[in-house]
Amino acid sequence: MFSDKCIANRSVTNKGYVYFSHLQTASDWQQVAVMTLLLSLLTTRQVVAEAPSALNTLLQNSCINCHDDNTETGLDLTSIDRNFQNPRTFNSWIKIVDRISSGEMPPASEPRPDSQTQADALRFLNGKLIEVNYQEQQKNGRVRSRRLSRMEYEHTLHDLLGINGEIARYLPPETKSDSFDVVAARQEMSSVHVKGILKAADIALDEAIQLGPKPNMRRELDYRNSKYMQMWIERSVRRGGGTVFRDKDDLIMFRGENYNLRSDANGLRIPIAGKYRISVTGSAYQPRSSVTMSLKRQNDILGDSELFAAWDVDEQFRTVSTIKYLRPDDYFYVSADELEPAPDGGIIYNSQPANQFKGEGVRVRQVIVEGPLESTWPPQRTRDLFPGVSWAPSANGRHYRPVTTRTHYEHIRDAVASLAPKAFRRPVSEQEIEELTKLAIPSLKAKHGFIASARVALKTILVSPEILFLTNETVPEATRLTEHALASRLSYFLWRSPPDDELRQLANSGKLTDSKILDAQVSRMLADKRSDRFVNDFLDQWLNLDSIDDTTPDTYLYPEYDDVLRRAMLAETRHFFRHLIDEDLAISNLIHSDFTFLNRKLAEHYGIANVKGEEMRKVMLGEDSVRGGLLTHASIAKVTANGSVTTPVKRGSFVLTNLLGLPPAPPPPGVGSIEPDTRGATTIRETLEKHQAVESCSACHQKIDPPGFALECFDPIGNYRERYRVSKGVERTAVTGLRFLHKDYDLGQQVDCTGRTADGLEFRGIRDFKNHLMNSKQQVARNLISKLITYATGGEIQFADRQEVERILDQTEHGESGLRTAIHHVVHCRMFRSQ
Amino acid sequence: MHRPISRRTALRASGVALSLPLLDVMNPTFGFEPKDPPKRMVLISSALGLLPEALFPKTTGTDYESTEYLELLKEHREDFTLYSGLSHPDQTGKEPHDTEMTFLTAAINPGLGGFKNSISVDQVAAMHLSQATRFRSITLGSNTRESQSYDMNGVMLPADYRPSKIFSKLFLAGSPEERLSQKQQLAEGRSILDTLGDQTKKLNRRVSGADRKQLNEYFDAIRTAEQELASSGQWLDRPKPTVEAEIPTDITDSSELIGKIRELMNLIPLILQTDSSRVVSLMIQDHSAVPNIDGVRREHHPLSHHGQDPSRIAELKIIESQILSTFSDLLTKLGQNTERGSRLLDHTAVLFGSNLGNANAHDPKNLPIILAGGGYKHGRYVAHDPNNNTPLSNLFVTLLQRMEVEAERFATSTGSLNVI
Repeated sequence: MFSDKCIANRSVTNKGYVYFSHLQTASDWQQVAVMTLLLSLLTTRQVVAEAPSALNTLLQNSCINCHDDNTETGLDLTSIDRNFQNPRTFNSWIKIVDRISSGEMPPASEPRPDSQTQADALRFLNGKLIEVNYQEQQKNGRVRSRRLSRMEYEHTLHDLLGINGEIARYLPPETKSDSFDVVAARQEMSSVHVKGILKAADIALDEAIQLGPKPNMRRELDYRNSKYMQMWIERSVRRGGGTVFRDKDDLIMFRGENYNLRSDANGLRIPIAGKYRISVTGSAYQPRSSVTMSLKRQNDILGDSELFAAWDVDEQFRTVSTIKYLRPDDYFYVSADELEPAPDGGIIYNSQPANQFKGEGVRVRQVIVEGPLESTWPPQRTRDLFPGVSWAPSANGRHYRPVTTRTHYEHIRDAVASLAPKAFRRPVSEQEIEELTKLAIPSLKAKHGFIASARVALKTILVSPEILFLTNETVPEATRLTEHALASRLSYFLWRSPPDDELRQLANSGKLTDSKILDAQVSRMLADKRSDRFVNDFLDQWLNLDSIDDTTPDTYLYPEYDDVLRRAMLAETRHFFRHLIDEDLAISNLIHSDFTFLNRKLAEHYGIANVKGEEMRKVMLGEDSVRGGLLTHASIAKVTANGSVTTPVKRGSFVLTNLLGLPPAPPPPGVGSIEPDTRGATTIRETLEKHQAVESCSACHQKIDPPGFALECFDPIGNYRERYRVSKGVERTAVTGLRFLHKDYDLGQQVDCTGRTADGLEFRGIRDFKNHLMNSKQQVARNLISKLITYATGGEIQFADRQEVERILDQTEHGESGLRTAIHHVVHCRMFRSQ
Repeated sequence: MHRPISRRTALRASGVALSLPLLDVMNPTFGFEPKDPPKRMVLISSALGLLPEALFPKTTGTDYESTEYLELLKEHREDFTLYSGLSHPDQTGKEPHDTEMTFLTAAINPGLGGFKNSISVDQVAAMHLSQATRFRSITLGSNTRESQSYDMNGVMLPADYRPSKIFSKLFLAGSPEERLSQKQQLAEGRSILDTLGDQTKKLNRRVSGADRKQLNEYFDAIRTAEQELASSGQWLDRPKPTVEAEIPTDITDSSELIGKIRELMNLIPLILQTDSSRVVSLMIQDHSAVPNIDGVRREHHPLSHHGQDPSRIAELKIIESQILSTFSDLLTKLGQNTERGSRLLDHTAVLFGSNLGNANAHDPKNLPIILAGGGYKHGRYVAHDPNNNTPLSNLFVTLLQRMEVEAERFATSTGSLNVI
């Protein structure tokens, strides 16, 4: 079913489209859909023969009155020529076409143009614009070469060298923009990148090449005899102790402090970077509600930390384990979350000694660390890097040394010949291999040793422009990608890393362009764990999930927000999207679905009963549930909130921009923000009513604000709310280091999440609103397909690409057919297959 | 060619510590004509703004009435000028805090459609000074690698935020083995970059014409990186200056907002005094933690959105006052250090400001701007039109000209600010 017909056969489409960057309403879209543009009758290669008389008539009759050389608008039609080859002219005409097509122009206040004249004019313009754009694409390609994004570079090094762990930190962050970081036009390059890449490659090689003595580790953290542990047990609360005590062989902790149980201070040094299995046996202590036992990693040198795992525990002992990549400077610690104070409200800090405290805690019996988990030593990844070399322990036993059977130069040559084709994503010539290997000669001559010399050549491969740039090479005299360029595009789309052996072999044998084989590869790649990178990275950028930590809600107003909840929030959206792919479910589920993904923690947050345990799983939602669909995910509520407050403007703008792909124009220069005033009785909503009163605001805000009003029913962390939380203003204890879970809020004003969409549909809440939004499911699908193509190809949708998007929309039944089907169509479309 | 005597050599011979004024013989231009001490520039921004009503006086000129915040700087009253009514035009961005990217660059519409940042004012000065000092510039951040300095390609220069690391980079010589291995690494790095240049040229021949722009940018980046490595290689042979100061210990607890700022501020006089660099930028960031200051119970960023709640404003003022006090102490130190008979402060323009004029509303207009030192005539409050702001870049042009950069304009400037 997924043929590459699309390249040869431009199927007839009679759908209008809405792509441009200003406001649309539901009624506009319907209007557009009804409008027949007939442009499908033109193949893009045909020259449009009609005289532009219809266009002249339309402009004279309906436009020129406002848009002449005396215009106060931004458009003076008398100064725009018909030289469509000129990029400025071209872009101006696109805007004109889009505004006429959508019905926005001429404005409702003006007489309607003759419909035949308008249709002819649009047909002429569409034909011209497509022709010019298509020819430009044929001549220069649709997208430019691009460099790998910093995340892609990290994944690339991971896969090439068999390592793990964060590497992107050595590269400068990608500049924030409103598109994906893979779009060539947005990418930057400077000496900061070059130096960062050199550093990253060094770190990666350090971790890949492990020649120390074989670490043999199965260690239990010895809390029983640890003096460090004893110190915190004995220390006073004032000095950071007193939150943990010993009960026979067990430790009972009442705070998830990062210092008490830390692995390094309790006798565990991580010998080398690698994968370790960490197993914890523990239970809840004096539980009255849900208790989470968690495992966290911290690195004080790099200054970062992460939540490794979180487990639900009750009074029964539970042994759980997780496999994680650890580096020598890392330490981890068992922590505790969701701990309630004592029934009388007492907290550990003023309930000493700790063993008398009646609040919830976590009991830790045993922590076992096994690893590094290597099947052989030196590890397989080191062996793979140097094919043909065997390894023997040195005489003093301090390290392993290479046992070479040929000259060092020849062994380095083998290493280069093995790595370069994988890294460069294509066959590499003998001459190239020789040139790279030669780089090791000065080092060999200076007697720096085999490994140090080999590293010069290997490092050069890892920082080469050949690995760094996706150059989208084409077959001769055409814009179609070569087999290897197609393999690269595919693997960077779905895996964010270079093609694996299977893909490269298919490309080598010229089979990948076969549509059946290509489909089979897409299925294989989506089934592979590496496709999680696509899901995570795409959602991070499309839905701004990567900005979830940009603001933090007040811990007293929203005490339930913690790392464990944050993680479950992100997991919901990722599992949900992944499920749409796996089960090929309709794209319209993004607007509303009768299921979602929850674990106990998130289900409690949502007030949904009977979900046990920390695993995320599919949960069917009741008829009357407010959940279902992206906009009801707590993750989305969080990224569209400003810390402790929500603003309908930000959320409304998110719906228009991210979900519908119709971003509102930025506010005109000189318009200030509304200054929040939380003192009095005014709600944000009342403040926003000023928007409706000021004409220059209302034009846009009547479209931006309503979706935001509907989403007011979700607080900054995605709770469903009927009333706003307001601080009680109680005196907050804030002695150094003695902050603790403490609620400080009352329920204040009623939340009003009713409203009326710009096209006049009333809604009484989120469910009504989602019903209305279902009218726009085609636009949501159009937006998602456009985003996928942009993300996969590194180029925004251009005018001549619109037909192809419409064709995919047709083939995917306008959002009714599944997401997986849509991804297959994306991979087959012209934009994906050509430069 | 005249080779300046290294300060350390001189010190070894004389046995004096570096807190003494720099000697003219160490001036690289010695032998031609005696010159004034070099001009320097320190740019500090506090990303969450300063409460305007606590900062700006109601009266202007030299006899302005002091305000709550200005009281904290009163001992330096004759050493600084306060400006209002300055800002960068067209700062509507994608996210309300995106102006953090443009405070020193003035690029318009941060984060919006096709946004690319441009060079920051400190880097213009740094490029001009080139190899005059061991480090062209020092970029500091109070909590993360985020900075406000951007290179000529609009790429952020990662900030140093760990004082111990900066100290060792500036002042610790390292063992001979370490220096040897550093040298080897530099040589290896340069040889690899050389190869990459060749590879890029070859790749360039394979790609279509329209694609060459990307690769040429990369090629330029490689060349610049190579020059930078070469320059650090040259400095590797020259001994680092020694200072009579303890190696600072890093504070890792992000709630220690003031402690972290203070540690970085303490480094600034050392950097300038040893002429390790003449251009320093420091970004005071949101630490996403409740600052450990008596009376403060909420995080800095939420407090900046005070919503006119008096208890929040009171807490916010505590934090901002403490930040201003660290700035005051920096001015004190720069005033105490002398160089060839004049104060370090007199040759160092220190700008303290923010990318937000009113953080409660994310308003990027009417920025709080304090300019201290640099040999300007101070002691004034200069108010520009609050409704029709003067480009902050005009002040940047003035600063650049004082650094002897032949700059007629910078980014959105419309002239230079008339500063005496």
